Amino acid sequence: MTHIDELLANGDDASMQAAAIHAANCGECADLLADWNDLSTTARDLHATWNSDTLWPRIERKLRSERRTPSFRWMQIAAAVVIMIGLGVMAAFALREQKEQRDFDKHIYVDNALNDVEKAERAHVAAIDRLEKLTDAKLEQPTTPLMVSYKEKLVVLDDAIAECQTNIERNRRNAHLRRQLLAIYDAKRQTLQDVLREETHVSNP
Amino acid sequence: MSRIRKWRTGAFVCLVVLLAVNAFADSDRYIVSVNRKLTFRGGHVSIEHRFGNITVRTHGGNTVDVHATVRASSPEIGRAIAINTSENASGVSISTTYPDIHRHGGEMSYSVDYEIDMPASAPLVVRNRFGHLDISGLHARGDITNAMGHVVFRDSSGPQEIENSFGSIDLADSDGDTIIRNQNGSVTAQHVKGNLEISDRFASVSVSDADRSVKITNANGSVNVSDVGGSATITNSFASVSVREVRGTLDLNNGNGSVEVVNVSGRTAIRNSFANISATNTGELTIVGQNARVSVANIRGPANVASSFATVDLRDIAGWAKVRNENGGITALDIRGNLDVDTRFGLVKAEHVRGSADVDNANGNVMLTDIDGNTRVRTSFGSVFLKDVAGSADVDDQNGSIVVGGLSAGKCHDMTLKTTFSSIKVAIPGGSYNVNARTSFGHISSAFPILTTTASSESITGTINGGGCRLDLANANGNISIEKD
Repeated sequence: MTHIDELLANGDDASMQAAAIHAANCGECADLLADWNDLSTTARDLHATWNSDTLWPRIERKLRSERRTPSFRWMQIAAAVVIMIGLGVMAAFALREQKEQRDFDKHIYVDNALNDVEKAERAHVAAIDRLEKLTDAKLEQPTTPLMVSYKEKLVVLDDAIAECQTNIERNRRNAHLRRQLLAIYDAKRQTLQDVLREETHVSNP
Repeated sequence: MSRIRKWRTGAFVCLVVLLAVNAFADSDRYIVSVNRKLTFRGGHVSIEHRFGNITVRTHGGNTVDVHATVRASSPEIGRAIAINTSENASGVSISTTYPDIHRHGGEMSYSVDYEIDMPASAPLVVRNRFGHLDISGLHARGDITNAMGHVVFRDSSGPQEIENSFGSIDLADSDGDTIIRNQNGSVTAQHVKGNLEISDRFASVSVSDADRSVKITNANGSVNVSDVGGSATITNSFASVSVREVRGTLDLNNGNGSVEVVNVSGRTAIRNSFANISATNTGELTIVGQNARVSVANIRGPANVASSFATVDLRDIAGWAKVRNENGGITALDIRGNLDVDTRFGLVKAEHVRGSADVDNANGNVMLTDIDGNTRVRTSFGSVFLKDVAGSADVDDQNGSIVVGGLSAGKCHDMTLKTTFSSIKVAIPGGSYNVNARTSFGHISSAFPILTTTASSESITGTINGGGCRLDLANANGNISIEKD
């Protein structure tokens, strides 16, 4: 910003006098000062006033009437309440649906859960297959009462596995059936591990 | 933002939420509640079900309120599931019929859960598979059979029969006689006022606070019993048994699992093999062990213990004690009656016996201290140490030394001590004896003057202090010495 600009921006009498002195020695500044003075004069001509005795009372009446009419405000409140109730009902409905969905999923597996369970079952079956290869010989000809007992338990577990599988064929996503099958697989795996450990069993601790 | 625009935005959000909720609700799942109200006019309430849980609660009225929740993976299959109910003079019947869904390729799934509120006084019959049972408040006969699910049974009176497999049974507060059968599932029973009978396999059994008799038959699962008012009969194998606080008798038969018994008021009989036996604070005790280490303490009567290939320890027996062992040592302390011991290949140690001591051993030492009655010992290839024996001493040993000492003064102690290939040492505090000592390949010495009737380098016959008690000492290939104590 130039010196003349700063003086014009200040606009007080002292600044305008200093600007006039400065413009006396600067042609460009003299043009700028002349334009400034023209603009000021034009702006003063544009100023207008309205003298009306009724304007302000009318505005005041209007404001008062708006303040005194409760219907619009009540409508606003009522609408807000309706919206809140509506949202509440919908939220409750959504929560109930969610709970029902969770509850349903506990009884009937959805795809992801079913995949997880079947993956776990496959892992159990693979582990059981490996263990059976290691224990087959011992169980084929059991030499101790304990081994006879393990063999009997494995027969019972195999029967239970077969029963579960038969029912799963007709009720594949039933969560209880799948959990039961997993538990029996786990029991069988543990029993086979016990059989394997029995090789080093010391009878009398 | 103007007020109208705000309203429009709010309405739009509501619409979106509503649509989302609707979309959520419009999934394929099928859930339907079925409610039936039936009147019980006698007979029993019967429930036959599969694939779901059953919860039974009771009330004082005569209505049976059935609330079934049917769940299916599609409405088609869900609508085909039938909840069948009937009521007549023979009772109320509730059953579930599932459609044959092979035609659906097996992809359909379903389950039904029941909540049933029935009269407490109505007998109940339940048959269920693939689900849990939760029954509470039945005050009539119950006949419950479940499989592949847990059973919870609480707060009942009247006789109860509960059967399950591949799931636990949890019973509490049963006032009537109760029979529980399970397989591959644990059993827990507490606060039973009637007789309790439990059979199980391949899982643990736990009983606490049973007022009357308890009978448990298990295999391959641990058994824990505590606080039984009547007698207890327990059979198990291949797992541990722990019994505490039985006010009646105890009959326990186990194999290949440790046994621990504490505080039995009545007669206690324990049989076990291939694992430890511990009995503390019981009545008259009988233990038959095989390859079992036995530890017995604080018995309020006689103790008869047999075992093999392990040690037997007895402490504080109020009556006589009889111990048979093979290939294991025996320790008997504080026996307030006669002690009778028979073993082989083990050390026999007895102290503070308030009766006689009769010990048969082979290939093992015998150490007896503080015996009130007579002492008789047979052994071989082991030493015999007798100390503070109040009665007579009769020792027959082979290939082992005999040491006798600590005899009480002023009492007559007839002694017959015999061994071979080792020494005999007798320390006496004085007294009068008829001495008959003989040996071969050894010498005889005495700290007391002996008035001899016959004497040679290997035999002495005579008297100490004028004669009195018998002192027969026989050895072969060993010395004999009579010393002052």
